Amino acid sequence: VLSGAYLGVQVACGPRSATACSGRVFLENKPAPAAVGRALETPEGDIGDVVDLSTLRGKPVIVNFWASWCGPCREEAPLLLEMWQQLSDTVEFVGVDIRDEQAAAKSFVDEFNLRYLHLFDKDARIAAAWGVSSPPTTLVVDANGRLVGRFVGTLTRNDLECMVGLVS
Amino acid sequence: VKVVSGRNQPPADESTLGHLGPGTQQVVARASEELPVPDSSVGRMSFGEVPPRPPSAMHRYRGWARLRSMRTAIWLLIAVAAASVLGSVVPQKNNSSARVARFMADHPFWGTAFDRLMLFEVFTSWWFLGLVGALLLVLFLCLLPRTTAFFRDRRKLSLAPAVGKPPPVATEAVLSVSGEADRVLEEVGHRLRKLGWKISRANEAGQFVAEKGGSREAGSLLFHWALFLLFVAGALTVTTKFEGYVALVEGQRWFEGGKVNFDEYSEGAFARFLSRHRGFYLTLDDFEVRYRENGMPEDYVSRVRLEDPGSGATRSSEIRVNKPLSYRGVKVYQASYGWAAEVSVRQSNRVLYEGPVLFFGEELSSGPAQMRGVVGVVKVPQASPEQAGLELRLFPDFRIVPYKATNPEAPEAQDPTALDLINVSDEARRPLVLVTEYRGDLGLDRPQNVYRLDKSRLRSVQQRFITFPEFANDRLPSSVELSDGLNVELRSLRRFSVLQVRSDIWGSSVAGIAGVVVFASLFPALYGWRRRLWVWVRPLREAAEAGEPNQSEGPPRRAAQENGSCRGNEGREDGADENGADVDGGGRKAARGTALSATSSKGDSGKRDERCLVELRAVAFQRKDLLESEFERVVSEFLRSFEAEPVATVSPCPEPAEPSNKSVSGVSSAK
Repeated sequence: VLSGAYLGVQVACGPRSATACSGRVFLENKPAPAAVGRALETPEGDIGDVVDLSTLRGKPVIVNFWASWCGPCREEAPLLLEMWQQLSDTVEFVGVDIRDEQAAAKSFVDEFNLRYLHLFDKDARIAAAWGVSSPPTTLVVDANGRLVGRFVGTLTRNDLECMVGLVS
Repeated sequence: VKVVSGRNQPPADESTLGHLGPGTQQVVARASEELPVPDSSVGRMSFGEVPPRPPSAMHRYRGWARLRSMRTAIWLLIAVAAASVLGSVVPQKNNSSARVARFMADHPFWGTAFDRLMLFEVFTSWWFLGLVGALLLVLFLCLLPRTTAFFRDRRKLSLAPAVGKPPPVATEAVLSVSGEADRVLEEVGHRLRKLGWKISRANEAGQFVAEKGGSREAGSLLFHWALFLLFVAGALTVTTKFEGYVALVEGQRWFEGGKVNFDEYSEGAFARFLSRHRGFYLTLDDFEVRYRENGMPEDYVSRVRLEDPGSGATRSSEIRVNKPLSYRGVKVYQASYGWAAEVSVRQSNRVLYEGPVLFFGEELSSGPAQMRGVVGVVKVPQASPEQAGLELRLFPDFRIVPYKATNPEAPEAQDPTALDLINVSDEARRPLVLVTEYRGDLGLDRPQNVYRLDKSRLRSVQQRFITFPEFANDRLPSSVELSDGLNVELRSLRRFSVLQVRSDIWGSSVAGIAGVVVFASLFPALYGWRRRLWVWVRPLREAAEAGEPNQSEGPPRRAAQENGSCRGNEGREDGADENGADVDGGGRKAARGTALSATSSKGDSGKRDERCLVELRAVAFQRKDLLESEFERVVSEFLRSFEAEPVATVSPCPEPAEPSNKSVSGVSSAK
């Protein structure tokens, strides 16, 4: 009975991958959870301000959860930088730094020159609300504020382009 | 009145009591020929029917029947027990991964074989879960027919039995009681109920059945159902619990929100659909360890503050070993603890790292680990010109000793003035940190332990000693300059506490209830003994007409017929004495002795007695040795009560006999 229930629930509620592109991007369709936190880094440089991600509505947003102690996050950082520079007109990029020390996180941002908005989510409260289980996890929110896709693990160009394709 | 015990006779055996023997079937057939069985008897048991054993599902020992047999269940239980023993002898990945790794390294062949067989994770392996699942299934299939049979039999017992003959059993007694049959019947039932018997309604022939000791089967069923529930609770725990570990440094605030908040986390298959995370903050205000004189920790306590931004609740609490903090189904246990240092790493006025470094004991192949201190690491990938890794070895209470003291096997050529650094206790009396600087590639693009350096592409550059500011002096500073202007500074020494956060409220509460029931139901299941009493109350005259009253051969008459004597208060013209004589005669002639005739009338001085025969037969299905004394108790209770209280409107018999066996027989002979 338990096995049957498990399989049933898995089929009914389990994640479905986006078949359109890379099979590792999982489709979601729900309002993006609230994300209000202190800024670690902003393009304007005003550090420590409280930022609400919902103010970014009107433009699709790629939300990347990372940490300075996380190896795969280092791996995908150059790709994020490149894509951000390429797409910054049409897509907003936001980083959420979780369970980290501020100094280490700052030097991570400096090292890779990721000058987009980063939230400092030291106790991983935003990450928990967004259902993130470990960094790196990248989510994509459409212009209406709906969470449409999720990717867990080290990003590849193909995956990131696929996620951007979901919202453009 | 005469009591003859049935001791000399062959004891009533369950198997001879009308189960499936061909002879018994004949008896039953004959009985049904002789006795008018009313139509309403359909679905009822027959008087004289021996209650069936609980179905054991073993009568057809193949296929389905084999699957649902108790024997299969017991074999499965043994297999589960054996697997559990295996799981506690072989190191398990989830609680001693280091031992598993060592085993794999020491015995490559067996390690691989064990790993393939999932012996390092017995309790989550598919074959173990399969065994438990099969056991549950078989247990369920065994219990279902027994349970339905139990309730069916109980229901049947409350109905009046169909008219029949009592079974021939060893333990029997016949009493002659003054009173009208209806009243006697009522009184006998009343007495039996008072003695704790469950009685059926009487049929029209004045027959009914009484039973005691149904608690045995009830207890057994309850025990097995509770066992079943215990397994279900285990399955619930495994599928719905979550369990995580988090290391908190003193002063650190932590959010309980989900997997991401834990250093180590595991959850059941259904846990993520249940949203059991409560979203509270936990701040470790203080951690304290008290030591015994021998340096072993006596007691340690985490003083925490809990804040729930959702409900606004706040509370302060102390978490000790076995004294968890419980909040809305989430329990926070004290797991372990250690030292942490606030460290800052800079290079040319740029802060590269500032925060806590946690120290952990190393797995050493030999020797007391504490002597070598505890190790923490700082990974500084942003250091220039190449990545830096700092290994900090903390000696909370260091001593400098001759090298020979700690290395007795060292070659004699060793410099006799060589010294060694050791740690002597876990208390921070003389803390010292040995910093080893590594440069090269930290290997962060490969998966690795956050608390360890991957030294495969690192080279050791230098080692320096530092200590904490409050212990620092000119020779032992609290910060040190390493190569290329990389500066390490110790800020403070603190404790960290590892907390285990767990939520398995479903499983544990169900398991608690089931465990109590398992033990409580064991007593009736083991000590209960089921016994049955067939009671036949009929007017003496009627019995006399039928022939020998306490023999089941005589064709019984339906007492419901209007001509039944003993009904109504008007005495019959038939002499009671005559009837009594008949009874006595019958009793003596009875092939199956044991007849106890309680003739209650001696001199019917003026008054006319209606007398009834009360025929009792008893059988026990367990503890047959106890039946005799129980039966005697019932009979003597009848003798006493019928003497003390008149049953009918008739006056009590003036019979002076005490209700003891000897006097009873004395009376009989006097008569």
